[in-house]
Amino acid sequence: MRAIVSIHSYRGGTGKSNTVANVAALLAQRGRRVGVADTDIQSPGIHTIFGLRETDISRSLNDYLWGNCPVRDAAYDVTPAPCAAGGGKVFLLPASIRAGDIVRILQDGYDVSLLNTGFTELSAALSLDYLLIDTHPGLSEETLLSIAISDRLVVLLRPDEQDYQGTSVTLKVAERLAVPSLGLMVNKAPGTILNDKLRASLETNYGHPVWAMAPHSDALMLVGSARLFGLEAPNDPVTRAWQALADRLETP
Amino acid sequence: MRWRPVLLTVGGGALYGICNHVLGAISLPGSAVITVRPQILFPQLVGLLGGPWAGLLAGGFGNLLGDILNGHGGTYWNWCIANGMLGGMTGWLRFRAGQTISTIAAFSRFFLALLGIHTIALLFACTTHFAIFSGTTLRETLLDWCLPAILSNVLLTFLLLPAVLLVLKYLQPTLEVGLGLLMLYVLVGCMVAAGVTGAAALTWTMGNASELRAVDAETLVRLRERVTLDLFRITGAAALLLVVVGFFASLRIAYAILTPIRSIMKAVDGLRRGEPWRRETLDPVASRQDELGTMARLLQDMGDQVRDRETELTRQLEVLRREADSKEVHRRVAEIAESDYFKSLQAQAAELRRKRHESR
Ligand SMILES: Nc1ncnc2c1ncn2[C@@H]1O[C@H](COP(=O)(O)OP(=O)(O)O)[C@@H](O)[C@H]1O
Ligand SMILES: [Mg+2]
Repeated sequence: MRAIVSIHSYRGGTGKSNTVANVAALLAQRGRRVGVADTDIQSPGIHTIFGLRETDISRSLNDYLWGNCPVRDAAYDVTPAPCAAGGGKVFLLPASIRAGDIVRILQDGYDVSLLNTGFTELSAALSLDYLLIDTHPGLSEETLLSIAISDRLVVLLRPDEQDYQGTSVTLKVAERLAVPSLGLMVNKAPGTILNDKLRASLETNYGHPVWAMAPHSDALMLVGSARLFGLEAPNDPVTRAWQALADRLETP
Repeated sequence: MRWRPVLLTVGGGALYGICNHVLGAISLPGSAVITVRPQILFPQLVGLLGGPWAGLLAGGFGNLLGDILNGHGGTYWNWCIANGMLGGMTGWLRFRAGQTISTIAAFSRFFLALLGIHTIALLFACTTHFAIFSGTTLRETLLDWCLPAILSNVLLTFLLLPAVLLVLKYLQPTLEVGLGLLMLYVLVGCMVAAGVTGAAALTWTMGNASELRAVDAETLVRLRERVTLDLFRITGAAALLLVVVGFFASLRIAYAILTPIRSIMKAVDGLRRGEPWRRETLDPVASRQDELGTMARLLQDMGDQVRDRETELTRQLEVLRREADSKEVHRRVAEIAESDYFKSLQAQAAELRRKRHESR
């Protein structure tokens, strides 16, 4: 195991799921064994990017949390064909998409500490190099736990005034939880020289490095969350930003 | 580096003298007075690369060496001085480190200056020759001797030197220089072609015209020399005149094309460096109806967008600066940090990470 990495954004719709899925695929393309956990139990979505349909999912993270099955049984091999050659693997631990399951989790809650045990077991059972966690927006208990157990936290934000405060809160909370490595990724960055300005400003105001900057991409927007854009468009600037993030995760 | 001018002087001067001896003076067919001396490039190149002194010495002593080898000794010292003048004055145009010709203005200035230098040097040689050695009238000296020599040397220089300078990378193949080269070669080429066809026609006519059968051979040769000389003087002078006019014409054309391109380049560069956006600097180009106009209008749109995004970003960054460390942030962090769950998490976090790392 190299690292558990949480990818978080204070608000939803920032591009978190796409970032997690594609960085996982790009790491697998480099021969890594990568686990992806969807802890956004209230609004799961990352499975579609890997092409997993609702009917394919018989067991989910929910089942593990309710004690219905060992965590290994809720993980699916979703290794994309182009990544298999070098021995890379991607395993997805999806959250349940069934409306009833979501309601039940919302109403009854669950033992958050089980997440930690589950991640440890899963990493061992699948000999993972990385476990990437697609967190729930905001700073709920399970998100705090994900951050607390992570070796690395990537905070994703857009250059938008609505993101600045939440990002600051997240970073300060992560500092208090003593996450060993903290960094930012900007999605839908303005591009050109404005990027340099933005990067400098973020780094001085937050006191943490900007690891990657992705511009808005019409091509990615059209793909939506239906496929792994990073494997389809290796030269798109967004893919290059994901590669930069993968590079960053690979450096200890 | 200090040896370079010395080597240039000795090497260039020696080559010049030896070529003067070996090649002598190649005459144009049909006229003994019109000589072709490609070696004239040597003193000029020494001047351009080594400076005035190197050019002066290479020209003067190179010519003296040739005269000695040809058995004239120092008799024609005035020609040595004239050759020294050619090399020395060309030295004023010397290429300093990193210096190149990249604009049509520099290109024109350079070749017009060479024309002037050749003229001065040869006028000096011919008039002193007339004053010291006499022999012919001043008029004959100037028209039958000096003028053809100037034309021959200058045209040869114009044809050969650009190629050498391109190889040595002193001429930069910019659009402007390309235009100048095109003009130079087309005009000089046309006139050389006119001269050569004229001479060929003359040879043919003189060999075949029945009217000339009765004329004796010696007269025919003299007549032919006379006509060839006139032909050369007329086409040569016309070529030079056209080239001079051509320089000004291409200067105008170059500016007509390049001024809009330059202002577009300047605007792009300003955008790249984040200078304040001034779209009106492109208005003159944008009002053109051609491709350059379209390009300028597209660029104005782009500049507007970049400016808008920059204004927006500047506003955003002001918010960021305010929010990143605001009271509200600290309040929310404190709120989270106060909860029992957070406190226990905080206590366990390091332990959880450590355990996991041990268990792998
Ligand atoms: N850089 C981008 N350019 C264009 N569209 C993007 C970009 N990043 C994300 N998107 C789109 O935004 C939508 C939300 O992305 P998603 O990854 O689901 O965000 P989150 O998980 O943070 O809610 C998706 O349709 C995705 O294709
Ligand atoms: Mg998501």
